[in-house]
Amino acid sequence: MGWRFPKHFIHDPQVIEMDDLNEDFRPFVEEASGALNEHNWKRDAFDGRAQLADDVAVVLHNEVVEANSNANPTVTANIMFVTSDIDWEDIEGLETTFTTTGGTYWVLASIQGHAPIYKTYVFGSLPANGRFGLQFALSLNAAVLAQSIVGSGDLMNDKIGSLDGAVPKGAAFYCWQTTGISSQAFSVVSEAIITVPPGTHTVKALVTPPQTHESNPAANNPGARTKFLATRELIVVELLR
Amino acid sequence: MDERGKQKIGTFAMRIASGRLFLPDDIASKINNFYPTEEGTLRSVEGPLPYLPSGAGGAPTSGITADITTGQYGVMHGIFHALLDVNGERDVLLVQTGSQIWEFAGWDRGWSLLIGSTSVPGGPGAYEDSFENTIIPQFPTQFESTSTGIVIVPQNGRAYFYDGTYVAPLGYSEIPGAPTGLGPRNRFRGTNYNGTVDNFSTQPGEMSSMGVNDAGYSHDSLAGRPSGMIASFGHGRLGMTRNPLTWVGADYQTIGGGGNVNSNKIDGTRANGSVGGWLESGEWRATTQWIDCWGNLSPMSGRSNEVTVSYQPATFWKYWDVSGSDGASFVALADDVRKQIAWTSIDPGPERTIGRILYRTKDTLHSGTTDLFRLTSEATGSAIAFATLPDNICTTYPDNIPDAWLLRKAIDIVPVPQFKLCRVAFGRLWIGNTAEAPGLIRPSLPGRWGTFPANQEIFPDPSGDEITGLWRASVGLLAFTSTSTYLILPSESGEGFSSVTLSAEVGCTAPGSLATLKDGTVIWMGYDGFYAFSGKEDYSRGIELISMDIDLFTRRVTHSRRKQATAAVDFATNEYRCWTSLDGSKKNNICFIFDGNGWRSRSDLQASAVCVTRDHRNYMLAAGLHAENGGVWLVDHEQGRYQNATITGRQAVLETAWLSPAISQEKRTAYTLFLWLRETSDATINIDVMRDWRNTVVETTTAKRYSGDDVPSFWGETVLGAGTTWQKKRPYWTRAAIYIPSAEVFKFRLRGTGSWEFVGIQLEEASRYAGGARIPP
Repeated sequence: MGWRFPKHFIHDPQVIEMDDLNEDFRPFVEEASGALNEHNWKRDAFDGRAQLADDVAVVLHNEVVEANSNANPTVTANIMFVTSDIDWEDIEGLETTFTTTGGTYWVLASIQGHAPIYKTYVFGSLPANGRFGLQFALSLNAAVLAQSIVGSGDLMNDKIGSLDGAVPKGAAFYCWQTTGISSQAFSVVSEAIITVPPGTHTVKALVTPPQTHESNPAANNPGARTKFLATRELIVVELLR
Repeated sequence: MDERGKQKIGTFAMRIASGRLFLPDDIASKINNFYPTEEGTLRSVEGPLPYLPSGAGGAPTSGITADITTGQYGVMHGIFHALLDVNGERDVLLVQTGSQIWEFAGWDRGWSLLIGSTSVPGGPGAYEDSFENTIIPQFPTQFESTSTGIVIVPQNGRAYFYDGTYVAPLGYSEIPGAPTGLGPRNRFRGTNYNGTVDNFSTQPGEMSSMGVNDAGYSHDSLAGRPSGMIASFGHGRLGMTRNPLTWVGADYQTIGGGGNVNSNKIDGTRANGSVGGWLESGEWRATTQWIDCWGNLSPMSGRSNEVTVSYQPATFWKYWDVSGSDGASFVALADDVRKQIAWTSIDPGPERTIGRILYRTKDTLHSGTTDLFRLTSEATGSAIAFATLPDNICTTYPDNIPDAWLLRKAIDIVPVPQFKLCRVAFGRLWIGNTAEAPGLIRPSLPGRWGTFPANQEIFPDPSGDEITGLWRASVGLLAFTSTSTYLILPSESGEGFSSVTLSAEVGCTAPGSLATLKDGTVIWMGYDGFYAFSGKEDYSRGIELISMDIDLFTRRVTHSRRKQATAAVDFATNEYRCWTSLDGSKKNNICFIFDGNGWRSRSDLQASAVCVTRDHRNYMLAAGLHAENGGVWLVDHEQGRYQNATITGRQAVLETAWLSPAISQEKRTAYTLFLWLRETSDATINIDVMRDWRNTVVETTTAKRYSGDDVPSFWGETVLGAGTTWQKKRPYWTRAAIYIPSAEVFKFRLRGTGSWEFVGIQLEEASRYAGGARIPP
C-alpha cells in the first residue's frame, strides 16, 4: 500500500463526531486487511528465511527418480535405457503438470547419464559402446524448448562424424564429432526460463542420441542398451518475484 | 422596523467563484482554501502534512541545496507514483530534487538515490548522472508509466527508464560499431591460364584446388581442400550453387564406403568438361544492433565490410586410405561447396545490454535486394529468440544461416534523442520537443518504449513550432504547441499516424497543466486561460475556454513562468487543481481549482510538481514548499505533529459577489445575515461586510461554528462515559447581526482559521420604500 495517514487532525475543541474519526481509522483497517507492502516493513524486519512462508518468493514442483548407477544397470531399479534412435524420448519419471495463473518459470532437469566411449565401460557382458553420447532437452506441452537443448540444435547439419579404421576395417575407430555429451558417467542440467500463460501445463525432460551422419544403425546401436540414465530430477520453479 | 418590510433573499449555496463584477447571487467572488465534501458542503482545507516526517514528526528542513538525506529537499522539479511488477507489488514514488532523482524507501523511513552522482549526499545513485538544477522557468520533470516501468524525463538531461529494480537510460543514444566480416579469400592470383601460375592448375576440367575460396575464413565440406572442417563440419549453407545439366558421376563416392572410387574422377576422359556443380560468386554484409533488458533496440551499426565468395566448381580432392591425396579432383555434391562465414568485432553494448542482434543481407549479387534481415540465434531457426547473440560478451558469430532462412526485415531505428515531453498512446511512447527538432513528435515501437523507428516522425505544426504538451485523450493523442492543438490518430490506411488540426489559435503553455477529469474532459492552461477538450462529436468544436469567469485572476498568472504550472485531478473531489505562478512569483503560489462547473482556489502550499498515487489510496502528493519548507507533501491530510503558523493561521475564505447588483439603484438596508453552516468546533468565524462596490470592510462580526440551540459535545470538555454519544455533525442556521443602511449593494466575506464547513447564506434586507424606523436588530 505504501504509507497511510489519518486524514483529519482531531483536536480540542472540535465537535465529537463519528465521520472524521471513522475516516481516520479506515485507512489503517483497510491496509492491515491485506494491502501491506514493502514500505510498511522496516529494513531487515525479517531476519531469517524461517520467518517466511515457503511460497513467499518461489513455488517449487519437482519429480525425483533415484537409481543406483554403480550396479548392473540391466537389473537395477529405475535405470532408464535410451532406446530411441531418431527422436526425442521422454525420460521416465521426469514429467510434471501444474496449473498456473501465468508467469515466469525456471525449469530444470538434472540428470546423471552414462554413455560410455567405445570399450571404456564394461559391466558384465554389456557391449558398452554408447560412444556418441546423449542430448537432453525440455518440453512444454510437448513442444521442445530449443533453448534447453544440451548439445547442438542443428540436427540437420551437426551429426556424428566417425570413421572406421583402415586395415582391417573396424579394428580402429575414431569419432570426428558428436553433438551430445559422451562419457562413461556425467551429470548434466538442461534448463530454460519460460513465460507461460494461465492454464495447466506439462513439462517433460527429453533425451535423444545425436543424429547419425549416415543411415547407419550401428552408429547409435539403439538396441544395445548401452546408454542409460540413473538418478534424475525435474524441477519447475515458479518465480513470483 | 416593521417586520413586514423585510425580505429574505437566498439561500445562496455558493460553490464556485468568479472574478466578474456582476454575478448571480449564488456565485461567489472568491472561494479560497475550501474543498467540496461528499455531502455537498464546502469544508476548509486541511494540512498538508509531510509525507516523510522528520524524526520529531515535523517539517523537512528548508534550504536551497538539496540534501534529502537530512530532509533538506532543495528545489523540487518533479514527483510521480506508480505501481510496477506483477499485481503492482512494487510501489514506486519518485521525486526529482536538485540534480537528482530519488525513490521513496519506506523500509528506511527515507529516500534512496536512484540517479545521482558521487558528489551528492547519498550518492552515487543506482545510476550515476546529474541534471542541471535551475530555477529558470521550465517544464516540470516528466514521468510516464508504462506496462513495464516508468519513463523519467528530466528537463536538462536524457531520459531514463526504471522498472522498479533497475534504472538505465531509455533506449540507446549510442550506435554500435560495425562488425567485421570474415569469409574466404583466393590464393590464386595469377591471370595466366597456362596451368602453372602459383602451382594451381586451372586447366579446364582440372579446376581443382585452384586457389579459389581456399584462404582466409574458408570453410566448406570439400574433402582434401584447405577450406578445412570437412567431415566434422557438415555443410555450409551460404552461397548459390548450380548443378550442370549433365551429371557426371552416377556413383558418388562416399568416404570410406564401397563402390568405384574412380567413377567421378575428373580426368578429361570422363568429365566431358562438366563437373558436379558450382558455387556462384556471392556477397554479404551485416550489421549489429543491441537489445537491452527491456527489449529496446539500438540503432543499427554501419554495414560491415563485404564478405565475398568466388565462383568455384564443386570438386574435392580424392584421398585414399593410406597414401592420402593422389592429386586428382573429383566431383563433389554442389552442396559441399557452400560456405560458412563469420562476423567478428561484434560490439558489446552498454551495461543494460543483454543481447546483440545481427542482421545480414542476402546474397546481394543474386537476391535483388540489399535489405538487412535478422539472423537467427542458431540453426533451429528459432526466430522467437530475443537476440542473435543472447549475451553482451562474445564478439564472434559463425554464420551458417542460408539466405532462405532470413525472413524478418530489419527496422531502421533512430538514436534516442534528448527530449522534454512524452506520453503513452496507441501502445507506444510518443516523445516530443527534442533538442534538435522542438516541433517533432515521434512514436516508439509498440511496447518497446525506448525504440523509435525512423520515418514515423510527425511535425504537427506545419511551421515546426515547439511542442508544449502531449496528452492522451479518449479519441487519440493531443499534441500542443503554445498556440495550436492537434489530434494524432492512426492513419486511415492503418499504417502510421496522421495529425488533425483541432485549433490553430488555442494551444497549451504548460505540459504539466494537462489533466483529465473523470468524465474524460481534458483541461490545460493556454495563453489566456484554461481550456477544455471533451473529445465528443466534432473535434473542431471540442475546445472551449472554461476560465472566462476568472479572467481577472488568470491574467495575473506570471506569463514567463506559465510553463512550470503543474496540475492533477483529485480522485475524491474530482477537482482539477492547477498550481501556477501568480503576480510574478518564482513559485507556483496559487492553485486554480475547477470542478466541472466553476472555479475555486487554494493557497495552502506552493507545488512545483504534483501527482496522484496510482493505487487505492489515490493520494495527491505535491513536491514543493509549505511554509518555506521544501518537501513532499500529502495534500488534504493533517496531523497533530505538523502544526505551524501557516496551518493554524490559514484562513478559509468565502466572499460573496456584490449581491443583487441589478437593483443597486434602489438602496436597501441589510439587517441580518443568516449563515447555514455545519457544526465543527467551539469557535467562531468572522464576517466582514462591505458595501457600495468598495472593498472596504465597514463592519466585522462573528458567528459560532455550532448551534446554540443544540450544543454538541466538544473534545477537551466532554467527560468520557458521561452519556455523550457519537453523532454526525449537524447543519444549523445561525445569524449574524449586521446593519448596513441604505446601501446600493452588499458583499460579505466569511473567513476563519481551522476547521469550518459552509452550506449557504441568506440575507434579510429591506428596501428604502419599506418605511418605518431602521433600528438595528
